[in-house]
Amino acid sequence: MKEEWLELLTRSLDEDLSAEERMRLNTALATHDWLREEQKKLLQMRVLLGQWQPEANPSFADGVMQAIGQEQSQEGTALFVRLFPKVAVACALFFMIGLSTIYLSEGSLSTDAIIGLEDWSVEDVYSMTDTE
Amino acid sequence: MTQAIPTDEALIEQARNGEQAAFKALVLRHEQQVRATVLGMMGAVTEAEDVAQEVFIRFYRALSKFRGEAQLSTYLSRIAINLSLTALKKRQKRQLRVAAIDGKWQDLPLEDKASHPDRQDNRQLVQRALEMLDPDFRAVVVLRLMQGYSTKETAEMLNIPMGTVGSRLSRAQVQLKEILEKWETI
Repeated sequence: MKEEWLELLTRSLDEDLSAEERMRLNTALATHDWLREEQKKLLQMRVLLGQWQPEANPSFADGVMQAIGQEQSQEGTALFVRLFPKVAVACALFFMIGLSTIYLSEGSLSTDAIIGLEDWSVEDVYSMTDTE
Repeated sequence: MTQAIPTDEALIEQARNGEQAAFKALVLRHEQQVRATVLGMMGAVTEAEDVAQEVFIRFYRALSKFRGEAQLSTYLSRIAINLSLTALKKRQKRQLRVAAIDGKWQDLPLEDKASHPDRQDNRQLVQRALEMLDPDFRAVVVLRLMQGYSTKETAEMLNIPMGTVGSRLSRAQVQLKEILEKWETI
């Protein structure tokens, strides 16, 4: 019986009991001091829990913002590290194709051939500027 | 003339547009609730502060996806409780590994662990009493009795039936009361 009243008591704090259960609990509460004492303690405990707050941490918000900042900068670095091999391979391929094309068309890999001036003379340059 | 306090929605919109100050304002507004949830679940350990920070970092990452269907406080509580439960499981695994290595650790029954508290204030005693509950029971107490969510909201956050919330809450209250009585806190 005692267990049943206790169960009704704890349930009554969080849910609506049926009319019959409510009557049984009220009768028991009116009759037994120990049950009223239990009710008082449970209510006290719920107040303690409801009022509970952790100790303040004044640096918490700054810590969060710092962690977010770090994460963002790490994301940038991670993206660079992730993309670097692909970009490097693409550049190397582009460079090699360019050099091959120059070699095939000009027959040499001299500086003049690379910058496209192999067939030019100084006079060609003057004649270009004269037209303006 | 006083300036109107911006709503969570307004601050979220500003944060989405890259305004860090708006996000910090959201952190300041909700940190107490998030820390109370996480520290209530995990105890006052450095790891708990890290988990509380992680709650806001997750929220920051999800800013663009946050549609505001739930209140921000509910959304944050849900992340907080889930991250805490995950961290507690990891902690438990670590403890079991250590126990397996040195072979000395034993899980003491509740009565033994509760029998000799140091002289502490009520806040610390409540926290220590909470730590003695099973994490699943603790989650219900934290959300229902400490954060004031309804049984329905608690059930949704923990993804359990409402009846389970009720039964866990009942058992948790009986255990907590026994511990706090023993410590003469109530």
